[in-house]
Amino acid sequence: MNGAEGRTFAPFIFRTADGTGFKPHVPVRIGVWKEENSMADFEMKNITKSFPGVKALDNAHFTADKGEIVALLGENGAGKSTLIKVLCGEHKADSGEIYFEGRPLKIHGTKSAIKQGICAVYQELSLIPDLTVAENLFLGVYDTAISGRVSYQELEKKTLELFHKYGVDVIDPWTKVSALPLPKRQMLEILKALSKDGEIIIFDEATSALSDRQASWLMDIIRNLADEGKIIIFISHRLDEIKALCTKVIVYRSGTDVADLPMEEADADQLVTLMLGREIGGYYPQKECFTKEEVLVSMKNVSSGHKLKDINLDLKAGEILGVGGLAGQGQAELFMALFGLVRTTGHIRIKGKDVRLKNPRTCIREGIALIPEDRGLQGLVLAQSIRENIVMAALDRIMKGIFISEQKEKEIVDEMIKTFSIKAESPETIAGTLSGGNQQKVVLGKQLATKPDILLMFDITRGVDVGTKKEMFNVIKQYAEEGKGILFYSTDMEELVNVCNSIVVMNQGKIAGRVDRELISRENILRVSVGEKAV
Amino acid sequence: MKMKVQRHQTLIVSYLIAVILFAAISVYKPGFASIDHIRVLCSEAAIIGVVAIGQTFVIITGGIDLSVAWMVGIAAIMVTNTTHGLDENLIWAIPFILILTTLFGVVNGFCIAYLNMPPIVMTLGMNTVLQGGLVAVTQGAPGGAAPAFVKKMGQGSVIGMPYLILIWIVLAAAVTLLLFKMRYGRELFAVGNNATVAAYSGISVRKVTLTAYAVSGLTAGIAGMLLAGKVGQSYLGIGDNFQFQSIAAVAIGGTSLMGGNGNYLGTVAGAFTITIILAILAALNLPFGVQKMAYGIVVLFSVLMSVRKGLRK
Repeated sequence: MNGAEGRTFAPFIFRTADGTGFKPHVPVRIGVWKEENSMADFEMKNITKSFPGVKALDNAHFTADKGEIVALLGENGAGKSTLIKVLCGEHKADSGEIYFEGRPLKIHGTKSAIKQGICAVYQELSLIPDLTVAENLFLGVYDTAISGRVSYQELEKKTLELFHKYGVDVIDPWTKVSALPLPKRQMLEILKALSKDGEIIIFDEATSALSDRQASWLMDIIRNLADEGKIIIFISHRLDEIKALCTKVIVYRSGTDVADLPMEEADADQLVTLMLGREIGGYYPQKECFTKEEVLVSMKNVSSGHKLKDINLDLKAGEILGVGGLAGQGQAELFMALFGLVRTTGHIRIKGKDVRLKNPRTCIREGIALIPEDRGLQGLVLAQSIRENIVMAALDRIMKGIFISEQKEKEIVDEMIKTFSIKAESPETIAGTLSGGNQQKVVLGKQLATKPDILLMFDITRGVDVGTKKEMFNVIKQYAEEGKGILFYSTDMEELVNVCNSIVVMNQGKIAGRVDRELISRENILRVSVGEKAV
Repeated sequence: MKMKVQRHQTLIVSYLIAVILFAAISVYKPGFASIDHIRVLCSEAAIIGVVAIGQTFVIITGGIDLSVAWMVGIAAIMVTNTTHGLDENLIWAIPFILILTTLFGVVNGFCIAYLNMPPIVMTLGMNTVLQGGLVAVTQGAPGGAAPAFVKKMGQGSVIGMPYLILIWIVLAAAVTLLLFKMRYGRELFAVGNNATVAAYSGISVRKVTLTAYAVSGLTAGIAGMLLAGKVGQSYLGIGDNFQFQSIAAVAIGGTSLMGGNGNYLGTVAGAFTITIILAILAALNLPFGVQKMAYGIVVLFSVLMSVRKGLRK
């Protein structure tokens, strides 16, 4: 029994990150004697789930004990998400059993899962943009007066209590969620799940949109929850995070579990090998500088509302220019300004020519491509085929007179499928049925089909597995070598450090400074963002 | 092959429904399947089908056009009234009418795409304005007979094939090309599925939306004139049925009312289905009220199916 050895007597240790101790909210049974070879507290056994054409889960197992933080690792499409969806009642397994505290769990639908103490924070956000913060947090569980009216005072009180309990900077409970930046929304998503007081809490890529500070806040909370005796299932593609947080790791590959080991026994290389089923060489490609003299984008005193102030920036051909800084400091607006999505003042020169970037169409014609962060909302039409998506922005290139040339279309689609090694049955496969990593590749293919010279990559590796990330980094490098200019933003600082030639650091809508070549490091990016010099 | 069947499943189902309905009633009423009656049915379906061209476009964008009823009415009444029943006046009357109804569509489209009016309110309002305008201009008594050429288009045939059907076939072919082989079709489906992605792909969402409503005005204009020819005259309220029928034809044809997918060939099947249902109800000698009710229920049922399909997506 994994994890049961050596902890037959399982005392609950209370600790917090600062070591001052922790008071549990719920009474816990101290010192439960476990029988040798007894079941783990939570077990999923022989779970099989098929979809038309694919066996997503094939006789898969998952075990965890109370107080454990279990990392669930695997490539996109390995069956992690399906397993979680089976657990949360979104999918019904074809066969298999689930046990909690030795009793079988019967889960019929999502409500029944929540009732039985299973709650999840998803990568795809489930908040309703037009409702307020408070309404979203307690959606479906409003306290209502006898008349059926929602008590808004009560709602506000509970919202503030929730912020306080988990040490979150207070957000006005009555702002609409649509007005909040992505990291804040992700935090609300987490709080929403926490407010349900579940026994098994799943974090599916929950940190992918968080800043470093928020991520460490979340880790503290997760540790506290584990100390309370909850079972945490943590899914992330950031190995360093998993290393720092989890107590054991279960690896999935092709729909089944291939490893279940304590964290101390696992090293990063081994985990990657287990996930891929093969060795993977250096994760980031060797850094090289292809920067040329030609300036592709030149921004002079560009401002936009309160979000972007007085930006001066040059992007040269062959350069991979990173955009760093804490989350929400105007990086998104900078990218939007260069893709005609926000109104700006100041001068923008593209390839030495003064232009007004009034909408995405003019930008595409000028040779700019934006790869957006949210593939479901901005990147892809999920209900259409890979083919239709790939040529969507490049219709100019497939026209023959007034008609679409199927031959030209096929050439472009085939080329992009090959370049990004998109794995799909055929180009007619509906984009929404692909795994996350493959969808992101289609987004890349779609934007690069326009033959751009300037690539704006906004957090393109969010929620993408290591194998795909590696492929993406190689493609980025290849494009730099071809002389394209690349503006690269990522919430993962490690990526910025390892991919970019130079990094501009943003703070409160301004460029706080620039870090070049050898000086690039996490520390220097932070230094510059708080107004110091890189050393 | 299997994939093709899967891909066109909704289309095949739409046609199957029409064929089954037709076969069933033919057994019960032998005259139903006579060549002459089939010709009548096709002519009926043709006019619904032409109105439904624009409706298909609009519904693919995720909108709806409720103003087709009085756009059809205006075209029908103007082609009889302004020409005084004389063929030589058609030279200017036909282009004038088509430009006019297209312009009404442009106004719809402009308010919806650029001023963010909800499609239902905008087009319903437009319908009322047109109705009022027409009553005011004609002082409630439009009258007049259709010019001979218009009548010929609406009633005549060449080597046994009614002109109405020929016109419909030509239009259907053009529309199918536009939807699946031309740039506009691609843009239309992208806009209907996800306007944000379409905008990020450099598609002008507003222009595409406006164009769909303009097409709806144009096809309603064509249909109105053909209708006047078929009936031989015009009267107030001549187009009233087409509001509901055009939407129903689109929905039964498998185009999701949520927008984003659809096929005009499906709408063609929808137009036939509606015509056959109406003919069956008439053949059963049911009272007018019951006919209307049954017809309404069928439409609502098909909308229900369409919405459910959208949810599953």
